[in-house]
Amino acid sequence: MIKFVGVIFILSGSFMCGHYFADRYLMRVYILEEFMQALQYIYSEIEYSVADMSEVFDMIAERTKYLSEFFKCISDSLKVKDGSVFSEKWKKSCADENNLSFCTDEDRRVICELGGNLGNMDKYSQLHIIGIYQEKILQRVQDARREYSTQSRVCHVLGCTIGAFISVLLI
Amino acid sequence: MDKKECYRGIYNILPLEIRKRVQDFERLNEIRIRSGKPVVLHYDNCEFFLDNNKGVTHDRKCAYIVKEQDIKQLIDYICNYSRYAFSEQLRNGYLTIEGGHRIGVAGRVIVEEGRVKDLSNISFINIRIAHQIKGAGKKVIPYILNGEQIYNTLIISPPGCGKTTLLRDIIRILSDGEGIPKGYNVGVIDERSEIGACYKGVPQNDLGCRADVLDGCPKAEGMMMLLRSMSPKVIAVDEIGSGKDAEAIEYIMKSGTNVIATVHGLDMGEIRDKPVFNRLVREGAFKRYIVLEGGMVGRVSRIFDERGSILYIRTQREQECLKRESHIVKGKNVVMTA
Repeated sequence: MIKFVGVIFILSGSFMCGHYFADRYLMRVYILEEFMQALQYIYSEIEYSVADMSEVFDMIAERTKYLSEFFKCISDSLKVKDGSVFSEKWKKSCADENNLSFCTDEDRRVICELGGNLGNMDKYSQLHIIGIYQEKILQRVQDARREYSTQSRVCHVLGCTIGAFISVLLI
Repeated sequence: MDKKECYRGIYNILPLEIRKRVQDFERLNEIRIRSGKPVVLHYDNCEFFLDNNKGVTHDRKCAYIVKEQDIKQLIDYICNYSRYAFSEQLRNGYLTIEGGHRIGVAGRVIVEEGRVKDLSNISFINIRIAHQIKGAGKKVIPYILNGEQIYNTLIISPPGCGKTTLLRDIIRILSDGEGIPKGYNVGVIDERSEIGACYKGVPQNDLGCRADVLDGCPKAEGMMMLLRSMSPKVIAVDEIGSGKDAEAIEYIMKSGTNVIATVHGLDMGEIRDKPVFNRLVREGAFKRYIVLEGGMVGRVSRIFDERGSILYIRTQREQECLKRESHIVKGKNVVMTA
């Protein structure tokens, strides 16, 4: 009976481990999707209300779940006129944001690169640039979804297999 | 808005290197920043260079020289890191920041199909610090008010003699009802953001509690819009000049709303000779003409009624007295007295 309970615990534990790793892939999808929504929001705010970056980021911070801190951080840093340029502030916020650790290096590169192209051009060019980055992020989202669908299965199966293997070893 | 808050707008937009060198913001009238040249500061209408260490100097060799980095920082700060949000204003060559201060810019102009599309490589910046003079219009109010009736009034003066300052204070007094039986709803058309100096839609200058401002709106359209939407008792408009403006004013007067406007000119005769205003003057559309003295900032020289009869004229003695006064309070010679 004890062995049976032990096996159940080991199997469920290892499955949860697998699930945890699979979740990291899912988080990447959520974060990139949220970033995509944020870009859309920035686009419409610039197009219709010509709001400045700080205002837009404040609004996005209130509406997002995973990237709330990221946008709040940039918005706050924009209010401090400390001599650094927009791209530096954006890069710093990217580096400080824990949730971006779920993303791949390529995702982070695209997101950081966007900072160098925000706030320093006229409305038409700014909207055009945001459009380009929407495309890029969309590609990253699709890649993240694909990766999640394959990797989550692998993680779950691997978790269960390791659990079964440990159980057999212990019995 | 208190003084500290008012000057914070200026402090916040200055590049770090310049910010830490400027000491006195309160008496500052103007800052001129040119790439590769010394920063020029105007205190009480006297010119100084920004010292390389701190404070001001007359010696150009000791002056702080503006770097390209400073200009970039300044543009970033002025535009709040959002150039697109100010491109329309930059195209016009000026923008208004928090506190109502006016920034003029010059650089390389990008022209497309004969129109100015944008301004790039901005290298020359002129920051004019706003100082609202409250009480400037106090003494002309008895001439434009008759009980509860407001006369259609035209303020005439050459550029730089305080038309807008006088108009702004008249708006404030009428809107607040300061020292008069009651306050009036005043509609303000502020095409160049000079009257209210709106920042994000909020007037940075005190226009009183009953003033509605249409900021950045062409005058003729603005007058019609305000008339339909806000039903003001008075419409105030700065620097009228086109036939469209005159037509809109005529329409507004016929609708029972009063107009207080300013126009460039030397005297009533000159305005009468302008084809655009000839009919308005001839028909007595404006009941009061306030003429400001040329070469003297903010001094009312004469007030006429619609027939051209003089209601007020500054006496020689008064002028001499004021001249003496202006020598004593040099730099604060913006004294609005009728």
